[in-house]
Amino acid sequence: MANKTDTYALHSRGTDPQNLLEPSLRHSVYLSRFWNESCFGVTLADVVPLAARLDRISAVTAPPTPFLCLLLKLLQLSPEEPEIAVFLTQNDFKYARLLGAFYVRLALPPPRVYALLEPLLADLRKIVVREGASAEHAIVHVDELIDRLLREHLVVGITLPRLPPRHVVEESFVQLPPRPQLLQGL
Amino acid sequence: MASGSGDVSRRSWDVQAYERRAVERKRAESEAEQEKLRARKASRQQPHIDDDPFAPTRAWLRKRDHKIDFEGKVGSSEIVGSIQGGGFNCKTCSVTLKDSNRYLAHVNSKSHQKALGMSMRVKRSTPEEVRLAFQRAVKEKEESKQRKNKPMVTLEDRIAKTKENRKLQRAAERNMN
Ligand SMILES: [Zn+2]
Repeated sequence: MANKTDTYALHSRGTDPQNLLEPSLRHSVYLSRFWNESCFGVTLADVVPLAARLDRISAVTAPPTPFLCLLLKLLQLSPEEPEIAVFLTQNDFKYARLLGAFYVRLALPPPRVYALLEPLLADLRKIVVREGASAEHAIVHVDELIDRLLREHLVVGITLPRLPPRHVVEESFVQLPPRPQLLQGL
Repeated sequence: MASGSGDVSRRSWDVQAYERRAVERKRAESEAEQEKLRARKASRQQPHIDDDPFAPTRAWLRKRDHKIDFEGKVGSSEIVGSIQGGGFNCKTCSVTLKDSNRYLAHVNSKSHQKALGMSMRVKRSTPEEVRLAFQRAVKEKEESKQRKNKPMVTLEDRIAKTKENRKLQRAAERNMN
């Protein structure tokens, strides 16, 4: 019950956004201590202090990492673009920004994914990432991970929905203007 | 516990079991108190926002502000006996759960929230609320950093400070007279 998706989101989207995470990941989160103790009854604004305390990007499930739990929480709450955009535009917490980026990549339509994630390619800060249970923690940069979110279908063990390449999206969706080129004026 | 033929042997009391019960009773009482407070806060929240057709008739769900006290009982599964009375008790619903996981599942359940007068739906935050939450998080981070950098207060410092305060107090009293 406590794991149900927000009714408003269910009706406005037509599908359950929580299904975007694989069942095995989802169910391990539902059983985890962090989910049941700290994530119960939180609103999107209550997610912020929890996200501010994140210290790595990892989706390992034994036990489920706070990052994975909070990602599922976002899917459960299903914020609309203006609310989640605050996670991406703030500059103080890099892991909260990436948490928002994963949500955007999972839940929003392709033109919005490009529009919201591309500006984050300018973020060069270092982050700690763990690819999976068999991998070690590694230091990469925010822009590298964002780049992978835009081009790959499996990032840190999370399967992402298909994202058409940018030129296809530009041609088929009118909402997406071409990406501004830094070298244009030269 | 001593077990002989019931008639002959002296009755001995299992002190530990009773102490456990006392500790658990105290925990359950303070927990019930905290939950009542949470329910009261929830009832004060604005019950409806106009553009949400699915707003609940009961109060919006609120997160727990307190940590559940599982101290020393983590993962333990005590057998609920009629005399022993182990496990976790929820005073709000007057039920006893066998272990911490089941207790957690109970306090997160719909029936428990309903007993407190809350629905199972949380309010949707506005972008402004999220922005404010980030500002608070930044402030908190800075404060915790400052706390770390602050030099340790020694006992001598505290004694000196107390003496100073007393002196000032006495001087003030003298002036009053
Ligand atoms: Zn209860």
